[in-house]
Amino acid sequence: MRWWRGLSSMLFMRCRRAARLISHSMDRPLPSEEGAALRVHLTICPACRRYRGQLVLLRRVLRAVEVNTPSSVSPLPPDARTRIRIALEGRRRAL
Amino acid sequence: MKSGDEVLDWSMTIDHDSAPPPTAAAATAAATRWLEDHGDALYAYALARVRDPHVAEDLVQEALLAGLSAAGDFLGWSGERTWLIGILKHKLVDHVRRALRERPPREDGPDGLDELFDRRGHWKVPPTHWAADPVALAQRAEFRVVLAQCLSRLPVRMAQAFWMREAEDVETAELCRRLDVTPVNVWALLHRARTGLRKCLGVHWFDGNGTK
Repeated sequence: MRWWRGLSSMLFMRCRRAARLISHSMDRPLPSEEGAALRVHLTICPACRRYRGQLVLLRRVLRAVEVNTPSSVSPLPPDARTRIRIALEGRRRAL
Repeated sequence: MKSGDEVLDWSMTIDHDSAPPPTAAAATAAATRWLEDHGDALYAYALARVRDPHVAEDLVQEALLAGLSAAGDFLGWSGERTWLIGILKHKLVDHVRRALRERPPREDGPDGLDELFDRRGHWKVPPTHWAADPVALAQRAEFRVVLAQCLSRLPVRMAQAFWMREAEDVETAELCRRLDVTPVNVWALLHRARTGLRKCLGVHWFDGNGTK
């Protein structure tokens, strides 16, 4: 009966479980049985394919944002700048 | 010695044979100049990740002080901003690790999937197709505002761990090591962050009222 449980979990995976596995698959290799079940599910479920597409797009956008972080949006406040300069001067005496 | 990979390792030992050791005054002068030249960039980098201006200021100060202690051969070198950002990254990781130790993430918390699925595990509202050029989108100011707002709605530690994974491409195993949390913990954390951000951006950008 074990083979049947394996086969049925592969064929009848619910979208909810698929959604969790899609997310996990972006952070770790899935165990072979789960990975196979997810692949089967994705071939027959356009909604879950779109969900995966959304998560992949989010990752690509965040990587692109990381590369293009502008430095002029939030300048270091003047009082913080002064405080840090004093700390650096203080360290000089300690050197 | 100063090849691309090595410059990011701020803890590298300094080869004192190739240059005389800097005087304390020269090192401090250099650090003061770093503050002028790179202070804004370091602050923006830290603020984008920790969101609390006071914490960001403290991290910039810690990074510059660490840079001052390790200065040596780096004085006057043109890649110093990369090097300083590298130091700042270490300080950010220390900060997140401390925060996670004080308030460990819950593994059994809601993961945001309950509201997406009915009791039989089917989508209540099937996901739509999000069509966008990620690079172009990342450069749009109005999108970045929405993204920042959506990230700010996540718990701070979760958002920071998520940023390291998704934006900085830190492998999960490395993330566990850096943050001193278990793999199960970090997978749950990332999954919940991803679900939360996807929902917020769906409502306020991709599936929203025509802001595309």
